Amino acid sequence: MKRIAVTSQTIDQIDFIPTVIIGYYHSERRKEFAHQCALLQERFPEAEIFGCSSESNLYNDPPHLDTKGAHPCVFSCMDIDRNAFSLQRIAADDEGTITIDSQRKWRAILLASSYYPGIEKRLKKLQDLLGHNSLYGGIASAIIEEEKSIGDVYCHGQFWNDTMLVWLIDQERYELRGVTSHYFQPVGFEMEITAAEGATIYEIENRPALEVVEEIAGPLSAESIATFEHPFFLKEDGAQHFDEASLCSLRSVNREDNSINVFREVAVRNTLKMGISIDRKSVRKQMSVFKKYRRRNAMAFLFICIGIKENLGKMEIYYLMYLKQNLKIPFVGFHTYGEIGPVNSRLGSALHNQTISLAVLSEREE
Amino acid sequence: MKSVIHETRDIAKKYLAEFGFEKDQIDHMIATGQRDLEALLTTLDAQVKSEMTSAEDLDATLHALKGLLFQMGNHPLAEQIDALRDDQDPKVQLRMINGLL
Amino acid sequence: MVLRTEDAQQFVKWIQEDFGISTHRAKEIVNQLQCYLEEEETLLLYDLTYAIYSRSETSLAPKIVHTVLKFFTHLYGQEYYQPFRDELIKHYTNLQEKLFMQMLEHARQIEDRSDSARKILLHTSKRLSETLDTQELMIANISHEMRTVLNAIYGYLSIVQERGELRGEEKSYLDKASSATTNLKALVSDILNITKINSGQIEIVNESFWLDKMVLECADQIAMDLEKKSAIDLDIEIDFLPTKLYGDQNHIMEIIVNLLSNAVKYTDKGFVRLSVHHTPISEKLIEVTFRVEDSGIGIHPDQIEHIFSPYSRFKKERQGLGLGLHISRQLAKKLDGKLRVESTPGEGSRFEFVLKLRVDKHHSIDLTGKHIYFYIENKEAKNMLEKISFLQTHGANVTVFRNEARFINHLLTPSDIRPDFITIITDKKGYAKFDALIYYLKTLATYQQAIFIAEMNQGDISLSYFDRIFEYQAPLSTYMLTRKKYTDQSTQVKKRIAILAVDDTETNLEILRMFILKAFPNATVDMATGGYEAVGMFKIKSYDVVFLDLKMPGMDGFKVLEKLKQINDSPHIYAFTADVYKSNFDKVLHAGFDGLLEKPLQPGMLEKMIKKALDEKRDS
Repeated sequence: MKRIAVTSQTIDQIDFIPTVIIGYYHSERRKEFAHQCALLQERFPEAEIFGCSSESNLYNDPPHLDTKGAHPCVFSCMDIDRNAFSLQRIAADDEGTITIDSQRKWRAILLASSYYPGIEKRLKKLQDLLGHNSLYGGIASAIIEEEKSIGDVYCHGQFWNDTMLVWLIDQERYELRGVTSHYFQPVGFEMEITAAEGATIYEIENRPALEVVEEIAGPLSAESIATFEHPFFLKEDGAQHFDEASLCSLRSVNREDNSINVFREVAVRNTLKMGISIDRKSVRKQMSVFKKYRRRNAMAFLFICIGIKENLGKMEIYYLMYLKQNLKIPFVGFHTYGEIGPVNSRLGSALHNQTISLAVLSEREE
Repeated sequence: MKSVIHETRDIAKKYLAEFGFEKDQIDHMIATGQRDLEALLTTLDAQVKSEMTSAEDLDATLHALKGLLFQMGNHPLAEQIDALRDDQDPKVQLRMINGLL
Repeated sequence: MVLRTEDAQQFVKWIQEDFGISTHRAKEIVNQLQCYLEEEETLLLYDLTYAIYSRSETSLAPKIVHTVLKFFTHLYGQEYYQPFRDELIKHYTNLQEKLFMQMLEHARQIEDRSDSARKILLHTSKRLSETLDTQELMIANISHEMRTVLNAIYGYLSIVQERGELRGEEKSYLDKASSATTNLKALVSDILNITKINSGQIEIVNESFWLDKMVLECADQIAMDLEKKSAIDLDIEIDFLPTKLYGDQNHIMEIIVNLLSNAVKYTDKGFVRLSVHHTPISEKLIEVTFRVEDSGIGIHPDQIEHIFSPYSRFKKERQGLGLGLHISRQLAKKLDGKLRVESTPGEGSRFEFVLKLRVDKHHSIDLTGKHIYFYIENKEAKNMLEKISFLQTHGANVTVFRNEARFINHLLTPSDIRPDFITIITDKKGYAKFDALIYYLKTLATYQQAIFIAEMNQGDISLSYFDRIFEYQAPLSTYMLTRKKYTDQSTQVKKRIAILAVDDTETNLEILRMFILKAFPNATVDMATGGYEAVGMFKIKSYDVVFLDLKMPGMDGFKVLEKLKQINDSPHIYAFTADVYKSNFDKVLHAGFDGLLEKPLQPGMLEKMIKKALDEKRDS
């Protein structure tokens, strides 16, 4: 499989005829991205071109992070057998799901325009259809302006809101594997959510949620919320231990009703623990899991939580350098408001926060 | 709490001496009494501070306290506690108990 | 600016030497440095900070800074780079500054993260300790409840045992159940003690006490354990200075008894020795050393440091959970004393409990005018001569008899002397003989005031008429007693009355007992602190009068009454309560109580109630 990772500046370096081009673009640079896609489509008429918006992108070569807007658009280009993939689009209000050839085994990369209600149920449905640990991906945005999410996805020459793109890859010919890894550990007492609706937690242990959280973590400043400083481990009914709990970030707090809003749908009787970062040595140990995904002629997709960017600041670059040195696979990716992947293979792919999600696509070796 | 214990101890000494008990006996008695009294007052303190205390539990403690105080000869306080048990207004009850502690 | 080949080679060599990395990697770094000097996009800074960040070596950052300095100093000193000196300085400062900034940033991030983690952990540890406190309280409460229930179980088991109907295997099961219950009771009371100590609930109650008396009482308390181990001798060595001290007698005894019973537990043959010595510190203060030695299995040096930690039972096959020494050490601390141990495996152990005690200054010894008879038959009574001489120096009139016939003769010969104390030290047969004699002597006017003392009675015979019985020696303080005068000795003496008092507050029970014994010295008063316990006791023994508190946790007075009536309807059962209202009174009578005894106690009323029962008993 031929593949290359390029930016707007290096777009001319594509030296083969790709069949798939996936791009990520700054929301405010839609036009530029559309223009570049049009050019690419002209150059490679057969190629399937799609992508999603992002706040910032991740790229293979320095600067790996486009903190200063260095990479408004990044692309990963691959020449994959046309019969071995399919791109499908599901709108948030679509009742239906995707159609697949059930004779074949599929895995998929998901790009969601935004975190919209019901997205987790949809993910679950998809996984039921495609199988355990079959989904990898990220959510582009959670920011809402004028009651409309500013995140979108691009496909078939158009931008779409409240939409999820499902890029299915035939697992006979290709292999899509990956892992989701985080750098926190649950501490303190297990606390039960006693009143909640959607992604809002009203009460923990029968007390106002915000009060409980602030009692533990100290007053939550606007900055600490914006930098996602205090993630929670959320244990749902199925999980046995907190090792299997998924991380979820605090999205906002409401001081009027003392509730908190998180990036996950929660339910009464789910339990919580606060998360604190693990030490550097453990981070290194944890990151070594990525080594297992090293493949020849592979392309890596990276979905890193916006929380990691905010929380780790300049340290994130070293995570990426570590990844690059150990993986030796070209990658592009973006900062997400929710990562999809398996933290624990027993529980399968799920939506997480505060993680680095990696998916590696390679040709099956004979 | 200390003052209640001390007051009761002093009263008990005189009270039991009046019945002609020997000093050794009285001393022993006072030591047990003081321990029981402190335990009861501590329970009461905990009950007052906790939101989970039921009226029955509180009444049981007050009852035990009353009995003990009577036995140790501190009748005025025992009667005060008895009156307190009849008080239906929990706020008044709490205020008086806090005064005790 | 381009590096000369020889300089580049030099740098590669330095990097290899300084950081011990491969030539290939060192060359890569030098290439990056070259790019940096040419102001091209470079990974140099990333690589350096990445190295600092990812390799958790604190020495790495200064080492890198030092190496960079070495490079630039080298270049700066070369004639060839003369024209680039300004550029070199710029690059150098730039690079160092960025490295420095990166490190600061890194430090700040770590600090931020650890700060928020600290907050969470602090809160967690606070909650945890609160939880532990609650749990401890819970354990204490449960243990308290358990003790009551266990007493009941123990009571029922005793009934079955006493009936003696079980045989063979079934009997052995019963014995096992009974012994397990005893162990469990001991454990529960240990747990209660620990929780009390830990929560600061243990109160130090200082009182005046006789040191020798206390020591001998300790020895008495382990008599039962010793009975099972006939190959051990218990030695007691005590300076026979009758010192009256001021301190927490009960807790001191608890420690000594624990040490003694451990010594007995871990010794199969040989000796267990308790010696007590005191050294004056000042006029008012003495230091007392209680030493418990044994010839037992000893403690291995590895175990000795853990011996005082909870649950450290070092020989698993011996009984108990090992809480005793932990409790003793904690108690010793509470008493400002020291508890230490020395031991040689296979030879034995030596525990020493040292503490300072105040001498009771109010005390002076005056035995003037007291007549004391000693009868010592063929027994090597250790320290007895010192004791007698002490009594004499303090004014006592002591007569020592060594011949039985002569002694008995003397006792039976009418005399003007009315002895205050008659001490008898003899053997099993001798005690039995004298016990019968005392029954007669007590009817004589001469001996109305006399206190008959049996010393060195090893507890294998039951004596009915001796006033005081000691397994070892009678402490000197015994001779300072005066005979209690009983006012009403008419009917009560002959008819013993058994009374059961039930109340969940121990003080209430104690006070009730004091009042009863004051009026009826021959009464036996048993006390139960809960309904279940009361029912258990009621099944074992028959009582004439029961005083029953109405409000108790668990089973209340009314329920207890119901149960008691089912077992035996004959005794008088009185409600004992502080709630005396008309309604209550009616309720009490309606329930089947014989009457109501009020708190505060009315001694007159109490006497009437008991007398009524006594009269009925006599009539029957």
